[in-house]
Amino acid sequence: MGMTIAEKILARCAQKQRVASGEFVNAAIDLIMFHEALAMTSQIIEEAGSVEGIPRVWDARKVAIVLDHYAPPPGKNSKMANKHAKIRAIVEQLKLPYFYDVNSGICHQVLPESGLLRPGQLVVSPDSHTTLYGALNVAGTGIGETEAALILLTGELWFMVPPTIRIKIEGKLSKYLNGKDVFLEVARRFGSEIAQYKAIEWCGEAVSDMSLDGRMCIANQSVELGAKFSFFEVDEKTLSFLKGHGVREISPVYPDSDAVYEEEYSIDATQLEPLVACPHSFADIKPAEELQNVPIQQAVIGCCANGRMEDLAVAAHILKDKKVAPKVRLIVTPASSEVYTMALAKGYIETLVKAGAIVTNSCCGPCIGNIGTLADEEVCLTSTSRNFKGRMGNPQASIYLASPATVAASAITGKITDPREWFNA
Amino acid sequence: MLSFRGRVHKFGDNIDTDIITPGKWMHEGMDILKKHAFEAVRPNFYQLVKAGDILVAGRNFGYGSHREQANAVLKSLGINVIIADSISRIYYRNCIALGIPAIIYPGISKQVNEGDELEVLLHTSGGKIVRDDNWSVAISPMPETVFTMLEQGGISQLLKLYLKNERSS
Repeated sequence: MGMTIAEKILARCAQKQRVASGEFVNAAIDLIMFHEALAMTSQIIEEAGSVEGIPRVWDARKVAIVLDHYAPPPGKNSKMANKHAKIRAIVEQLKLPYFYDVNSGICHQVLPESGLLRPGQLVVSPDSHTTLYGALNVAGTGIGETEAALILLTGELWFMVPPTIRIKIEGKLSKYLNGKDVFLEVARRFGSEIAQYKAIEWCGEAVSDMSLDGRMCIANQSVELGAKFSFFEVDEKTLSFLKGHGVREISPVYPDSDAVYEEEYSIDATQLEPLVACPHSFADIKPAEELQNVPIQQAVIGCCANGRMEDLAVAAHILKDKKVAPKVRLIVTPASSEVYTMALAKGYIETLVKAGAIVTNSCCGPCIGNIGTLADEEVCLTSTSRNFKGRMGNPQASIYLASPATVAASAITGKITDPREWFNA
Repeated sequence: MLSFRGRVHKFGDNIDTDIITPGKWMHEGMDILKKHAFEAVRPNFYQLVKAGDILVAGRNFGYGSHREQANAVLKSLGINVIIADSISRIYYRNCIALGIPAIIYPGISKQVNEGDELEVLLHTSGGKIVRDDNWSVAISPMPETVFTMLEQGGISQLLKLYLKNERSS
């Protein structure tokens, strides 16, 4: 009997010939990434008896740190400024070579660009959207700060080998649609627990055709489907991205042809339409067309789910020579400084600013209310990762969630808008 | 065998980590954070809880961000056990890491009411949930790895031991 991608990676990390779903293993971690959570992990280690802080790490070359959630610290938040200072001191003291300060961008874009990720790795982080690394065939998953403390000292963590489901996206995806719409369709059709405790393997024509940006969006949002890992297979696009970012030894992990899947699902990409998740979860997802009367006061494009070149390109395409509606604030946040620079060169940033957008530095700010906090009763349409109550700093506000194209078209009209008629020929 | 007894506070489906611990108060320390726990759906929850209480929820409890404060805050409010129709993966892991027993029992939210007094027994060979009126359900055996960690009070205890051994070696 063959193995899935998740089983192969966990077997290697547990130094076993084979593992099967449901089995508990102790696995060696290939890389751990921290953002500001490192301050809390350090505090946990201090409280556990090491008063001087993190005494050492098991392997400094397997630790990456990206300051992004409060980058730079907003709103007179000196507590956060002090946490950043503490993290910089830890980096220096432990001589951690892979440190990306507040000017770098969001961890889930900075890490793929860093060249530290390679197919087949087991990568964890105290951040739920770590599933994104599956777009590069990496077993990436979120953990807590206490587990992260144990890993820093020992380099290992327990895992249950997850069952795997396969989701096939058949046919061609139209240019009006984004990875976001694919994710929303999966959540709408199969529910937001379809992958609870499970690994996903994505396949099908639409997935092969999709850019890495689109795959990263889907792998990122897979945690909203409950996924532990979310894998894409390596192809020419993956190889070209990895090589372009200095990765040399590449050993892709493919599932065996007789691997056992818990369930297989299939979606016809040609039947998809732009979708919107209504407040305050992914339980209520509707076609954008059905929500056309909902006025919005804020629109957000960017961050770790949809702040990549493809997303900024479609936003610039729709907003070219147009204006953001007078009563709407459009916030655009490129996922990293590398993306920001490329978007500048392509003229996307100029187009967006001329249309009336506020373009921020690359950080998590707009997704978590550190930039663009909402007022009571306000409505925001966002292409960031979550629409939870209070997520943007105010539980009295409502957040709808959609693709960058849907957000861009809606920013022009001032209400939720199906983007299809806003594409130029 | 681990056993607990307490009064039920019941919540619905999709209680996410932004509801349990609003991001706005996340970095203000536990004393402040716990006053805002669940405030979007149940204001002043911290005044309604007493040590030893049990939290019962619907589907997908703890959905969303990895933030461990969303687990730690329950401990600090005095909640001893969580039972839900389903629990989000990272939240479940963090419960184990912090030594908070978390039980997935599909349908529990339909069978238990706010204010019920429950007894919960957990073991690797199985366990049960019992109510004062003799209603009870059996729960599946706990995986050895998980049970051992809960018995030890979570990973933080392992961490303490590890650091202690390191200092003395």
